[in-house]
Formats: sequence, C-alpha cells, structure tokens
Amino acid sequence: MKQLKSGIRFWLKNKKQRRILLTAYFFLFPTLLIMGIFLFLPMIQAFIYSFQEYSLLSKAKFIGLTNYLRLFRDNVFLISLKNSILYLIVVPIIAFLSFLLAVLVDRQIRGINFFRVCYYVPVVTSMIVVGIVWKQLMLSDETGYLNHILLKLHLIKKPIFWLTTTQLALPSVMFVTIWKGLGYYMVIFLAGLRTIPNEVLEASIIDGAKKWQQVFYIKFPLLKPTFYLVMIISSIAALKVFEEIFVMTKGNPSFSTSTIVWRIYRVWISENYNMGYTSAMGVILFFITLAFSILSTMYVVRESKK
Amino acid sequence: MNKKCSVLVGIIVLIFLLVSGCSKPTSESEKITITFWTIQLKEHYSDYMNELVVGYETTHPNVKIKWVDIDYKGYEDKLLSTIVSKQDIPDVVNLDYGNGVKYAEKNVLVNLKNEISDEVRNRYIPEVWKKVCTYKDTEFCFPWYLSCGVVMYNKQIFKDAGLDPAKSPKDYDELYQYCKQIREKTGKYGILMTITESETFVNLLDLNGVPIINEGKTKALFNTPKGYETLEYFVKGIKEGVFARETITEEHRKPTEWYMSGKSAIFMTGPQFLKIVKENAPEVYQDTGIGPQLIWGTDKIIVAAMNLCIMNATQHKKEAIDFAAYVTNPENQLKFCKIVTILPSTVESLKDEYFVNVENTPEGLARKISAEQLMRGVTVTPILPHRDRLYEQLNTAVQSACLGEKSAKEALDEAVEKWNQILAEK
Repeated sequence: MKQLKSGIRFWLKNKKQRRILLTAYFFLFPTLLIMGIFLFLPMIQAFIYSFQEYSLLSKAKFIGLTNYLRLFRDNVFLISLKNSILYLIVVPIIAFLSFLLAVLVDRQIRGINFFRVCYYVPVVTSMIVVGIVWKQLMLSDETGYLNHILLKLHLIKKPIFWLTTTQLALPSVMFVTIWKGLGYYMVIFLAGLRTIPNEVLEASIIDGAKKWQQVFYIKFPLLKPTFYLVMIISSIAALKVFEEIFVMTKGNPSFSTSTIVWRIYRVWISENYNMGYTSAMGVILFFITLAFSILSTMYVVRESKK
Repeated sequence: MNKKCSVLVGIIVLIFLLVSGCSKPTSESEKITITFWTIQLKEHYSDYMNELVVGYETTHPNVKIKWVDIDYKGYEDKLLSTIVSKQDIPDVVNLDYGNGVKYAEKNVLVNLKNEISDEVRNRYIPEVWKKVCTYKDTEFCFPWYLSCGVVMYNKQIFKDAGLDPAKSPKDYDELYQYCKQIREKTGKYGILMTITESETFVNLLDLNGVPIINEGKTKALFNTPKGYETLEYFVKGIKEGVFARETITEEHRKPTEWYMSGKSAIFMTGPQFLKIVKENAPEVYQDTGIGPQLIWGTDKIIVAAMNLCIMNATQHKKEAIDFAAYVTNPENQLKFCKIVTILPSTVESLKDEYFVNVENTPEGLARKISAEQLMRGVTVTPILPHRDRLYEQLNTAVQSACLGEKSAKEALDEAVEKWNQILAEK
C-alpha cells in the first residue's frame, strides 16, 4: 500500500518518468493479456467448476462444496496427496547432490566440459525416453541391468521387484527424477559458484583450509540463496510430478505411486471427463503449491536479512 | 435454306448445351458432405477405405464423403472436443463397444430403432445386434468388424518345455499347468496376462461364471467362493512364480512385446495381432501355433466389436445412416476381412468359403478358429454404470491380493463394498 502511494505520487510529479512508466506497461501488456487468457482465466474457470457437477458431456450444475467433501472421503485422493508430499523427499537430496556435482565440475582441468555435458544430457532428454529406458532396461524385474549387476556381485539372491512392489515403486520413480534433474540444478549451482570471490577462497587456503573444508564452510554457506532457489523450484516440480508416473508405473501397484496430478488425469479419463471433481483436486494442489512457495519465500527473505 | 437450317441447328445445340449445363445433376456446392471418422486405418487400409468411399460416391452423386482417419490415442479427445465445441462434429464415427455405450448413455448418438428397416437389421448376426448394438431400449450403432481372440503359442518353446507343440491349452486349469512346466523347464514365462487393465478382470470373472452385478445394477455380486477362487488363481500363480509380477501392472502392449521377443510362450489376443507378429518377428510367426480361446467355468467366448455410430448432431441423418449401412454391408465387410484377420458382423459374409477353407498358415487357422467361435456365441463385457471407477476399484483389489497385502476374500469383499458405494451414487 505504502509502495502504491509513493508510486502514484511519483506518477503525478514527474512527466518524463511517467512516459517511461507508460512505455514499460505498454510492453508488459501483451504478455499480461496472453497470460490472462491462457492462464488466469482457466484458473478462475477451474475454481468455478470445482463447485459444479460438470462433465463435458453434460450440463453444469452448482453443487456447492460436494466435490470438496468427496475429496476427503476419497481414499485414493488421500493416498495420492500423501505420495505427492512424500515426493518432496527428492528436494533436499537433489539439491545436495547437484551441489556436490557442481563443485566437482567447477574446476579447470582438461576434458571437464565433457563431464559437464554428460551430466547435463539427461536434462535435455525427454522424460518419456528416460522413463522407458529406466523401466525397460534398468529396473525391469528379471532382465533389468540393475538386478543383473546386483546378482552378479552377489549382493542379492533374488531379483528385486523395483516397480512392482508397493514399498519400492515410489522410491524407484523418485530415483529417476533425481537422476534426470541433477544436471539442471548442477548448472544453477555452477552459476552460483562463479559468484564466490576468489579472494575468499585464496584467504581460506592461506588459513590452511582443506578442499572439503572449503566446500562445506565457505562454498556451502555462500551458496545459501542458490540453495533456496533450487529448493523452491524442485519442490514445486516434485508436487506436480506426472510424466515419470505416466511412463513408468501408471500409479501402480495399488496406488502406491499415484500422485495428485496423476490422480487428476486418471479421474478425468475414468469419470467421463469430470471437470467438477478434477477441478476441485486441481484447486487443492494449487493452494498446497502456493502455500509451499509463500512459506519458502518468506523463509528465504528472513534468512537473507540475517 | 441451308444457312437458315444451320443457324437453327446451331441455336438448338446452344440451347441444349445451356440447358444441359444448368441441369447438371449437382454442382460441388450442392453436394451433401458426410464426415466419416475412423480409428487408425489409414496406415494399412487406405486403399480399401478409398475404394469404399469412391464406391459410395459413384452411386450417390449428391453425397461427398469426407473420410478422416485419427490415431487411436487422440481419437476420444478429438471427438469429445468437437462435441463440446459443437463444431466439426462428424456424421459417422467409428467407436468401440465400450465407448459406444458411453456416448449412448449421454444421448449423443442417433437411436436407429425407428430409422432402419428390418431388412437392414437382419443382415447382422442377431446375437451381435442384440448384445453389441443395443443399450437399454436404444439401438445405437451398426456393427462393423469383430475380433474373437485365439491362443497363439510358440511351438519351439513348447518343444523346449517338453509340451506337445500340436496342442494348445484348452482352459485356464490347463494353462496353469502349461505355464508352470514352461517356467520350470525353460525359465521363460508361459504367458503375460494384463489382468488389472481396465475390464480384463471383470471379463475373467464373467468367463468363470461369477455374477458381476444384479439386474438393477445397484449391487455388486462377485464376492462369492467362485470369485475368490478366480482371484486366488492369479495370487497363487504370482506367488509361485508361474506368472510374472507384471501381470498386475502392465498394459496390453507388453504381452505383444514379450511374445515377439520370445520371452513368453503363449499370447491370447485377437487374430489381427498376427500381422504385427508377422511384420516384427517373422521367426516367431513361423513357429506360431493357433488354438481356440481359453474357456474357464463356462463356455463363454469374449468378442470385441468395432461399430459405426451416427452422431445426433448430424445435419444429414438419412444419408449418414445410409452410408454406415453401406460400409457395414456383407459385401464390403467380406472385402475388408480378406485384407486383415478380422471377422464380419454380417451373417452372409461369415458363411463365406473364405472362413471355412483356409490356408495352412497361422493367419488362416486363426481366421477359421475365430469364425467358428463366433458361430458358437457372443459374450461382451457387461455394461456397468461408472464403469471406469468400478474397474479401478476392482483392479486395485486384485493388485493388493496379488501382492500379498490382503487375502483374495478380503480384497474382493472390500471391492464389492466400494462398488456398492459407487453404484449408490446417482
């Protein structure tokens, strides 16, 4: 409010600045218009649909909170909600591993670019391809390479059913998400590492700091803002996970890998395009993601003020 | 005189030309356009389809057929989007039995009951018409081509397992013994069935004589000793390693892959899949033996049907119905069956020599066996309200039991409870 008042005051006083401001809004307008039509309007529509009984093949009827009440009685939705929240386990793991990877490739040795490219290849590969490769070649029960290697090394006696047991299916899919996402977050950390002044690192060497001490006592604390960014981006991605589930498990077995977005898709298909109920699920997901983003941002702001 | 005569003749000719030009049967703009949607036929059958279209247009100069072929995956979404937007709605659509019922429930299809003559109706196999084209008191489609599953088996794997390569399993009990022996002797799986894929388990219960739902469709009935026994069959199979765990997680594509790669010995599906095996795994095709569909507690034979429906929104109902009747007439169906191993839905074409005197190839044998099966009777998946929600609950129960999380009885009892809750909804 305070900012708005000062903005208006500024607007009225300065003619030249007013022109600059108008020009800025002029350039912002097309994007805002497109976002309004293709993002905000469907969001508002979805919110309205969530209070209606509406399948695409029948007329919409207002039913109040019925869809929301059904959500809390729907055991599959609750399982999916739990799985989506469990999926957040991926976030600290991926952040920490990609940080380590960035530290590893942040050095000037011959052929380092080759390693950087290698780690980044999974990021540019389609999730469909990655999912199929992991499902068919690596994690397949009897013919998968992973079981083959573990059996050869005599680490296991029988093949592990990675994707066909309720306890292991979700962690297996999470593993693929981590594997695929590492390179992306590595690049963000690499950019962060480049911002650390050389003087600080040189001073630490003079003080007798070892390599690992540099990583954990200098680089790690200085990269906190990058960590927050990575955690926010990856947690939003984790809450919205879909492709991995679609390609690898289809929510099986026994809904153990069903997440909210997957559930929305399934219900949409299985209930004759039920817009009302799926919108209610979407609204819940939206508020969870929003709450999570606000909390994370508040935390980041508080930490950066310290 | 001669000059006058020439002028007169010239005028007459001119008038004739003008009149004949004006009375040309129909100009392009006056033609009625019927949009005809099919599911994934263009790639392999475009010659047949084009011939069909030209044949109709020649005999009906006032009609132009716009044939649109759509990939199976995007078909439903595309059809739905035209219905919702009320734009470019096709006149004649190709729908499978399940989706046909879904749209018939929503009243978007023409009820043919008072639109066609008994002469047309009687062309089709009566049992097919009754079970495939009728929903409540409406007749919502013309049956087009049918598929009646057979057993395909790899004779080489049978030999390796010490089984008679001339004999396929006849029922599910025999199948279990075959699979057990194949697994023990060769390390391969006997079969990959995808029992938790949509309606499959409902069909299995039905085949084994388990009642699914009451007359009024308000109560589920499958938690009977026979129902438990049906599920126990798979629980035991997975536990003993006779069936792969993928039995409860995979979809229909997988069994085809397994069979073609020699990872499994038996493949139960429609004979039209032989074409895929022939193209992608010719060696396996050469070694393929054919047997009749497996039976369980009953002698029911499951038939899959592809139909032609007329959309209610059509502006040319009469012509659309006439065209659909033309596409599905005995002559055209027989021609289609000669291109691909499918079955016709018309009595006359099914009696043709083509289905009796067959060549000694997997495709020929499959054609003969499936046609004989069709003569014996037709069973289609029971029509259920909220069918996908019900399938999901049942399939999850099946998974829980097969993973050892619940007993077969607990799983089916819970599924029945959930079905009853869903069926109680409006």
